[in-house]
Amino acid sequence: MSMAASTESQVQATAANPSTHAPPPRRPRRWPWTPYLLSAPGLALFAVLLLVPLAMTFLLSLNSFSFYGGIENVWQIGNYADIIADSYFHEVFLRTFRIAAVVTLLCALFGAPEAYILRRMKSPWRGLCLLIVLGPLLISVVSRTLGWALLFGSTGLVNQGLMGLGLIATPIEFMYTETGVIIALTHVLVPFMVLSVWASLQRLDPQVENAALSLGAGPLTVMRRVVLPQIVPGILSGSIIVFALAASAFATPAIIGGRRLKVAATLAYDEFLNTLNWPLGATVAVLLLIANVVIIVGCNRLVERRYKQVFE
Amino acid sequence: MAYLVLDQLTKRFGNWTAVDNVSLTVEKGELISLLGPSGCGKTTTLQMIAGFLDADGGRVMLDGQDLLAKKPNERGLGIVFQSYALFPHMTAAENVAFGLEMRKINRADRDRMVADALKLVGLEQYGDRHPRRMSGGQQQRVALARALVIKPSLLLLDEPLSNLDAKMREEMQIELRRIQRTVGTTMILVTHDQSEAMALSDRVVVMNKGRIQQVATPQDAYDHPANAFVANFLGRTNLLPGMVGGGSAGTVITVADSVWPVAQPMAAGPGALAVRPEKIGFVDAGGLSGTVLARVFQGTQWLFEIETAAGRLMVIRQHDGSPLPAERERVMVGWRADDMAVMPAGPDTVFNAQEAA
Repeated sequence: MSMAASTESQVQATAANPSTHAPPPRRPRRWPWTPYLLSAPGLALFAVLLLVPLAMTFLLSLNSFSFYGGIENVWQIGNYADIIADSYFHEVFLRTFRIAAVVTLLCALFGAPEAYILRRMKSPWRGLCLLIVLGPLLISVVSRTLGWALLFGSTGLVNQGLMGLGLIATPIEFMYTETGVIIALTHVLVPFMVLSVWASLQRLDPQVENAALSLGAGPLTVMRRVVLPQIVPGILSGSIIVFALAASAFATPAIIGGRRLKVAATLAYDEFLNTLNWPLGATVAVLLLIANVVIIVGCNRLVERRYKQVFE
Repeated sequence: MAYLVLDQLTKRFGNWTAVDNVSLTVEKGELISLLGPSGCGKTTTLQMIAGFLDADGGRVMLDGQDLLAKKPNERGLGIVFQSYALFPHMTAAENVAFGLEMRKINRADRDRMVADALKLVGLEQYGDRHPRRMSGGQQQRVALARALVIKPSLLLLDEPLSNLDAKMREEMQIELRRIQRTVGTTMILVTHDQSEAMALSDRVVVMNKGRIQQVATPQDAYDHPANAFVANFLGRTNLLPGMVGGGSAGTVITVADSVWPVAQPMAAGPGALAVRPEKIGFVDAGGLSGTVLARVFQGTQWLFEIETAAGRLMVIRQHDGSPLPAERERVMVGWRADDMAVMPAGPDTVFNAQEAA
């Protein structure tokens, strides 16, 4: 009864004073294209600088090449078939991803503890050490890698030192070996891992470690059971960055690995500039891109699914 | 022999002394609060007991054993942190089970103890939830269960209720008290909230600037504050300037036009008289004269502001039907000598607001 009465009175009120319940006066209708127009400069830049070159590279990879005729404007997938059939290319791609995987592993092994130690440092030292860790990013890749080359050479400092100490009889081969490339790439890429783990450490409640201690866990158990699980997302996202950069790295493998130890990026470069087989070089580049995207997206999916429950 | 003994515990940060010669004894099964404003050294004291900070001097003895000689993970204390510090990657049950796992308790016993602990804090339904999916109060309960399940010899609570809203906080106060009665664990509670300390503790330890000001039951500290700081920190109080001197009937303190007997022996000189608003009544003679500035009705009570020569006085009277003065009326206020405390006044004593010049 009272419900009906109140509804009735509401209706009456509405009837008596329609302006209070009427929709607000309409604004002049917005042109629906405004958001697109506003983002057009950014989209244009993105398209011109990224999408167009990518599309052109892909189209180039479909062309054919002969030593006498040069690039021929035909559309075929012969280049892809060549690469898939040739064990030489298998070896190069396998090496590329092997190097990238080992570098990623080493970066995680060094970078994660490094970030953790940095976080626990006191104020003046922390800034200084962070600068040292991030230092490699401030130096040009070429000069930094040439420094490694000087250090690694058969008459370089490392070999001279080891031989001088009588630890080895003959110089260890660093130059033009996978070991050398891996060491140099790890040095270059470890800051990315440190930064990524650092970011996830920032979210860690410092009291959580004390809580685990108070419950009777030793320092190592605290590390393994409490700290590590919480920074795993940071390590994984750092790994994705490091892996992508290592797999597509050019300068370091070019200088340390040279012609003898080719990876996908240096292979594409040589096809373009030495053999002048542009279509084949483009094919290598496209395949590298696809493989990288597949591996990274796959890993990302895995991480997201695994940690969805805990970290949203 | 006391259960927990702090003996001249000291901690310095650079040339600042955070905890200054703190000595305290706690009996088994007692709930004791360290109460004080921020920076008074209460949390630092707790962290030294827990082992997260090294003491610069003094000893901590628990049940006859030197606690400072042990590593934090060997002390066997339960700690509830202000931020709760739950493990975000573990469920509530896994959080509670962690301490038992560290003690290598077998699976079956562990599951039973975890279930019991979650039941004690009223979360038996929430065992498989992650902390992120729980409310602040629920997280607080998980933290409590996690600390209690290891049957700690001592439970330390660091501002446990400060992150909860007012209603939740009251609920948890009652809950904490109930749990303490049930399990009988000796507890040390650190808080800056005087009502929380008074509601929960058997005894309060009021601290300021790294030193203990008073150790007493909440009622005792409230009724007989040891000094002006305690009087001001615990509830509302009137602090009036006066002059202590010897009279024919023993030591007295003169406050404006009134004279009050001082029970304890005191040197002559400036003094402070502390009296609670609810202990002051309207009298016909022998009191402090003044004028009613304002009176405010608060339901169960009336709040009066009285202008006197010694400063503005706050008076609370029960709303019990007895006649009360009106605004701007000339009145005389008084109190029983037992209800007041007299202490020496220092340069940093904060008296009631004085009459505007």
